[in-house]
Amino acid sequence: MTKRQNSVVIAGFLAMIFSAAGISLLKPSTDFSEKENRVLAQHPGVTLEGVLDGSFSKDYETYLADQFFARNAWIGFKTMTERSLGKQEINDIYFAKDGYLIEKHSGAFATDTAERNIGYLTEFVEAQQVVCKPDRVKVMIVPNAVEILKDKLPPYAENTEEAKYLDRIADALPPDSMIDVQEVLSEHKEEEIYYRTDHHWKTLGARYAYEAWAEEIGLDIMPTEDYEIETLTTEFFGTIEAKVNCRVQSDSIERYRPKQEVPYTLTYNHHETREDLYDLSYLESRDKYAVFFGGNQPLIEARTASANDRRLVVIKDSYANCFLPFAIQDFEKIDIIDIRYFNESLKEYLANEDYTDVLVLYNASGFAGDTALARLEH
Amino acid sequence: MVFSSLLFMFRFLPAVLLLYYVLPASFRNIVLFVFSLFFYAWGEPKYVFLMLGSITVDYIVGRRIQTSRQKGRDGAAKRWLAMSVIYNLSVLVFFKYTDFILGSVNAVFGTELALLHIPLPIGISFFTFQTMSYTIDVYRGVTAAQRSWLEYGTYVSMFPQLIAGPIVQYKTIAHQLKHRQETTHDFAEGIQRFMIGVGKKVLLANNIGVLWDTVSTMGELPVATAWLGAIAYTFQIYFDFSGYSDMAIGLGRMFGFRFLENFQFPYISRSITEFWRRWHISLGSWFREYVYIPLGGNRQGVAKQIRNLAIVWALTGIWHGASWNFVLWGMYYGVLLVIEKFFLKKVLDRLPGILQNVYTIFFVILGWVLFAFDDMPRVVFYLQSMFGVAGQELADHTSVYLLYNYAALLILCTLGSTGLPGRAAQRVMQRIGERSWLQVILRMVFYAGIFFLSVAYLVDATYNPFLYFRF
Repeated sequence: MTKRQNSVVIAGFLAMIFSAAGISLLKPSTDFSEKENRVLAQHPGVTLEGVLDGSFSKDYETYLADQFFARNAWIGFKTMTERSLGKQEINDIYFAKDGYLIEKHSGAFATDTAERNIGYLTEFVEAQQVVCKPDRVKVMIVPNAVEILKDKLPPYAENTEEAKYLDRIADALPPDSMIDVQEVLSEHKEEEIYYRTDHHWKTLGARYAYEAWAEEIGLDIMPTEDYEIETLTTEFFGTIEAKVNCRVQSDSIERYRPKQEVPYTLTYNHHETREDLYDLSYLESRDKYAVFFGGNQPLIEARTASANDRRLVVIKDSYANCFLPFAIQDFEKIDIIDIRYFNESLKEYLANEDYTDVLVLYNASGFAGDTALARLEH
Repeated sequence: MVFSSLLFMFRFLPAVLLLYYVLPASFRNIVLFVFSLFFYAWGEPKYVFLMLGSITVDYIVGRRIQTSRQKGRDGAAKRWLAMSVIYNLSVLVFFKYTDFILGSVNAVFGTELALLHIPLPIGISFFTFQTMSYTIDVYRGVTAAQRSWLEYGTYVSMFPQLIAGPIVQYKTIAHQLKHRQETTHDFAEGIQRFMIGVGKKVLLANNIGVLWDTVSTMGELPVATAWLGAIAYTFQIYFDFSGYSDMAIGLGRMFGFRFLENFQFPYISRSITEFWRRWHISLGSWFREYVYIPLGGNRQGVAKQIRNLAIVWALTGIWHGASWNFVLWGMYYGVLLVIEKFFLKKVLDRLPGILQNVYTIFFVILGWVLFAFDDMPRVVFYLQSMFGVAGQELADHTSVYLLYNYAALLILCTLGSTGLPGRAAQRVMQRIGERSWLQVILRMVFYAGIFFLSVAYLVDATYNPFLYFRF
């Protein structure tokens, strides 16, 4: 190469690193990534201590990656490359059939926390069975898409950890206290029971599970014909899509509107009262699943106009959010507790009430990784 | 700090290049020195003083050895040299091997000495070897002692080769420290070399490393999966380490330095002897020059030669990490080399070339299994799986799944381990014409492509370890 040609190569290189450096220095920091649904790292202040113990350098590098310009485009570019190399999974997410993105949850069920949580749950259920009628205390650990939709996984992909974990839970719990959601959902695996781009189940999946549970606890429920199924949005891109950032089919969110609604009042966290469990303002945001109850709340106390002498307490995670609208039509009282955020003593709270039914509802991977389940004992 | 990071590419490198080339030429070593200290201090600030200590001790010792020599006081020169070697080795042993020694003593004598858990100073194995090469060469009269503390400090701390080599011997760049000529040709070549290194590390090593991580943590391993994992690790360690050397050599050239090559396509070797002439060349030369030959090399009979090889290979092993598996790995190569030297080489030479390749890569892959796990039961389990001796299946669904997921990457890695892509590119360039602009444009598109892809992977960096950080 001639000297001029060398200079052109050098100029091209310097232009790349200096412009990227300039843009990333000048770009104002973003506080929150809607897409990834998390708070982004900010510039760590320089302190002598921070510099000496090395925490400054770690924080600074996280800040740099989090705040890098066109972050989503870079991640999408990477996904595209991986896909064109024939990779069937990226960042622990399978690119499954029919446009499903399915989380692998690899290793999630082999942790100490996962084993401990089985113990906490078993003790809680045994204790509740003394207070309530034993056959009214039920557990639903909802399998994730990776288990139910395993036929959709890429060829030869095997993932049996979750099924084994569910078996371990069923074995540990008192007989018949676990609803076999796995079987119920498997029967309907060809229907739209999971979101393609989000880690939750769809309302239809929740409905099937609800019917199975109601049958086991002898509950009279509002039949499906009495609901009108309404599509709230068809433009939903969920949490899994955010991790791979590439073009995929969007999801729809449905709700079941009773034709003859039983009126109800919800009290959020002891102070705020609402008449409608749906918060449609979330349809304008990225986090559209929060349309149910406005997302996870530490405590919701529901009182309804039905007088069937059924009073329910639910210990739950976000999988319950699209499940509980059904229950609100069929109980006279429901207390909904998310112990990840609930700061009161669960024991005392339960002792002050008089429930006829207890339900613990989690998704399997969420349950395995939840570090708040120890609070079931407090 | 590591090269394959956003921090290095979009903060550190622009800053150091800017100051280096904007300030008057007389500031160039100061700029390099200060930036190198910053580079080293990033993440582990306290140990920068350890390095400054080593620089100062060896700088003074170098001067003393030379004056003693000039005054004809050889005994004094020898004592100064001994002091330097003892100092450097003590630092190395203390910071790197204390817990290993205590642990081994505990295991053998059943004592319960408490471990110290000293964090390993980054690159200590590299810079102590470099400073020793300096004092030894001054003692031997191969090179003159450095007059300037700053220039000597620039040599030891120079960020391109500071934390993962190559091990640059002082005498190879002594002249360049003062009289180097930065040229557009060197700079442009350096950029291209740097990009190659970034691509090897970020695109090949990191990604094939995911396959190894998947396999190495599996509970049950069918034969095929075990081999797939071992091959993945073989590629990971090569592209990781040689990529790092490429980046170092490229960066050096951007600042007018020329470091010696560290890798020459080791996996195409046709014997273990050849493999070690192509793998981590700077380490092999160091041991040959400062240990093997001073011990007598091969000039004092077969028994002594075998003893010398045993010493060198045990040391080579332990240099790679403070754990028994590294010793075992070193001895494994020592034994293979002795066998080759004394009879196998003659047999091998009569075999078809491809069989020689297969023989070599087979033992290299087994070697990496020893290298990969620092607990022996895992090594045994893994080797058993590779040979199916405990009744393991030949393959299962997961083997098939992993194979087709990584097939494209494995092919890229295989090609990248040979000189084929380089030669093909050269032929194309020759046909186009060395001085044509089309050729320049093709190059720029290629290297910018690697760069953009690498940045994309770094922004989404869930996985960016540096294997050679423990050395």
